[in-house]
Amino acid sequence: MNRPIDAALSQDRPAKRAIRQLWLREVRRHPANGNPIYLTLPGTEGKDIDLLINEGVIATTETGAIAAEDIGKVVAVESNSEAVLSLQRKYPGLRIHNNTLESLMNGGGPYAWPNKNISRDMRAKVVNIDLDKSLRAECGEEVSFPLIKIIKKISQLHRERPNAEPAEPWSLCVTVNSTIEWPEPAVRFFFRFLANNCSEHQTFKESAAATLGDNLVNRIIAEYQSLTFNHIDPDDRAKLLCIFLPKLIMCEINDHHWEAIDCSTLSYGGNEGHAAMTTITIAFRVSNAPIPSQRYASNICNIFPGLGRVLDNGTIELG
Amino acid sequence: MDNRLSGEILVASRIVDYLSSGLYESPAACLKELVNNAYDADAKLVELFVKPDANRIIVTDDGTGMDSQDFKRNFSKISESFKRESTDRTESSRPKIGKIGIGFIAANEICDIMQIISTKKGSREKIDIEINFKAMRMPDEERKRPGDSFTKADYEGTVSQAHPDEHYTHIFLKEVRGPAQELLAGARNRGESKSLYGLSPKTIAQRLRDPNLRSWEDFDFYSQTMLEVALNVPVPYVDHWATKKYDEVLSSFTNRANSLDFRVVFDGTELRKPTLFEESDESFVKTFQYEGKDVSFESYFYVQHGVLKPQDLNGVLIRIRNSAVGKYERSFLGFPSSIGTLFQRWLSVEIWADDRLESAMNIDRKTLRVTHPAYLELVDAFHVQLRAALNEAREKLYEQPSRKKKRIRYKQELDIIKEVSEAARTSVSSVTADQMSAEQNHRVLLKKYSAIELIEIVLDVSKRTLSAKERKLLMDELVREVLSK
Repeated sequence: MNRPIDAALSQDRPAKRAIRQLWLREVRRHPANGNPIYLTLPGTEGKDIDLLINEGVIATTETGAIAAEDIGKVVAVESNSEAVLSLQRKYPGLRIHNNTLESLMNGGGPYAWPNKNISRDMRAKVVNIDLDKSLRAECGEEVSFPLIKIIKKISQLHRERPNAEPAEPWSLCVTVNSTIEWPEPAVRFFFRFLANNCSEHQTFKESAAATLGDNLVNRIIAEYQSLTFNHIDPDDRAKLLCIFLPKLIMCEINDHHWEAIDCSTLSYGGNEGHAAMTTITIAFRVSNAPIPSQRYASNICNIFPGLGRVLDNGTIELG
Repeated sequence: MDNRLSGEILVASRIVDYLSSGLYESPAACLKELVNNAYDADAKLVELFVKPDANRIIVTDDGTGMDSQDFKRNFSKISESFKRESTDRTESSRPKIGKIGIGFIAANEICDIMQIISTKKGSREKIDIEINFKAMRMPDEERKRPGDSFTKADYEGTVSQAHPDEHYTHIFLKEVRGPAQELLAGARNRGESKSLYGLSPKTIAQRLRDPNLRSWEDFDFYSQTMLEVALNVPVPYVDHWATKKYDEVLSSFTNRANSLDFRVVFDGTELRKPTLFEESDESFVKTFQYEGKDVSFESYFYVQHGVLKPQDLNGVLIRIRNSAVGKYERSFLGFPSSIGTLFQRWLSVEIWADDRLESAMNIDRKTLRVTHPAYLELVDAFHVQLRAALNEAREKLYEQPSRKKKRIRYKQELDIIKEVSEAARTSVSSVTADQMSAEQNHRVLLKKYSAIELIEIVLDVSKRTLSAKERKLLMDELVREVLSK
């Protein structure tokens, strides 16, 4: 079984190691009470699980199996049965859902929800959706992004806990390929969405201009109806995705009353045969802001301090 | 190449339909059937994954594997097994354990879906097939097929490309049914049940030799399943399983199991036969070989002083083609419980029978037909040896030590008497030494007194040394003693 995703996830280059450290930081951000603490799409190699074991977050037995007291702390999602077997071999006792994230969540629709056990697992303190694919757009009556719909449902599960328990802080990590191959309506949605925000939120516009330059920001505002990605320099394209993606997430989950207390959006790769990637980590806690627009404005402005790039040597450069 | 593959799995007759439903008493019985199937496929390594919650169980092996033709041939009509069509040996000369091919049906007892991914050495085909056992549980009228057959399950799958050097079979038991899942996951554990999950063979051996372990039931169900599988399938023994003292005498059994080159790993733990005896000076081992008309076998008798613990090893275990028939049988194949009753509980026996006993094995693979000539001959021969072993146990472990203990006890009593006599002599001497000479002393001690004289002396002494109450008690007893003589 040779899948590109496994090759991508098993990479041990410094940039990827640095990103795994960010995930570990998120795991450590939250108290380890209640399971699970980490939900991941680890591929066959499970490098992120290795890190959690090496760092003592989860214990193993003398045979290398997940220690009985830590079973259920980490949950893996893997749709391919043979990949499930590889993972189970590497980590006997690891909880693995043999399905796609989308199927587990019963799709992105708002009516069908996962069962009790899967809902429990989706409420992991850290949800890490590490994909090698680019963000897919669907253009029906309106433009939508299936991954973002799933994230929205996960966010809602975190918000609405069983037995009316209070919502707890959690972190979302998302990694996607930076390539953008969308149909025209989705491209239009992208630029309009950014243009609207720049027009409506002055702070956002200023921050965007500091990152992208006044020229590009003004072009987006003025030409959002005709601008295409071909018109934009590849570096700026990656930065645009780094702004768009967390912003879209903040927008979609705004009704769930989360405050993004820490957000980092980093690009990496794109050279020496490595695909250009974008990775996001957002730490959420329950927001006290009563007005949705205030919450949204605050959240999208929190995107900019954490924008940056992971260099090939693993150094993170913000800005 | 990605051809669809689908069809119905049929059984030849209603009889097999009945027999293959409710055939296996426990999840362990189902798992060991799948492991034995892997053994028959010349696998060297089988891995089972049950934890964390037994919602999905994986059994994977590096055996010869199957292509689509093999699958159709072996699975589409269960009772017409091709397992021993040309030979009853595998390519690597292992005697095949499976016979009539219903082993895989075992899986239906614990799950609704079985996915098989397999590829065969030399073939470029990889099959990925899902069998749906839900059909088995449909009402009879819905399961009936034209002719004599009943639908057991439907299958559906694909054939894709594989490298011809690859060979394996991965079996995924999905939608494991409620009770089996709860039991296997240990969800139905009793309060403080201990678990063997995640332990090395060495640590497991230590736990099994724990003198406080009464029975495997002291462990959770997960561990009991692990032990039952290990007991049944052809895995090696633990090093020094019957203690170093008996390594040599039992080497033929150890070597036979270890030479099979077959490993089973259960959630990362390599399984060894859970037959382990504790270090004991009061034990003996007898081995026995029998060559008969209808059956031949090799056996050992392990006997120790005291009830065997864990009690799961008490009894007789029969192996045919390296696989156990059920568990240890505590009636010793119908041996009268009145003979050597006490010693029967001190005994553990394994019998490795030859292939001729196989035809006596019932379809459940855990019992033998009591009227079968091979079984009858085995029982007769075994009971003769059992009787001898029980007599030896009585003599070596009970009566000899008992006589020895008596001798020791007599000697100890004699020593005490000697000690008391010496003390009395010393004490009398010390009282009299300062008042008279040795000659006088001797004369006084030999002097004869009447009873009344003696009582008077005692009375005089008691007046000086005892309270009135104690004196009265002493005198009453003394007079009663004197009058009773």
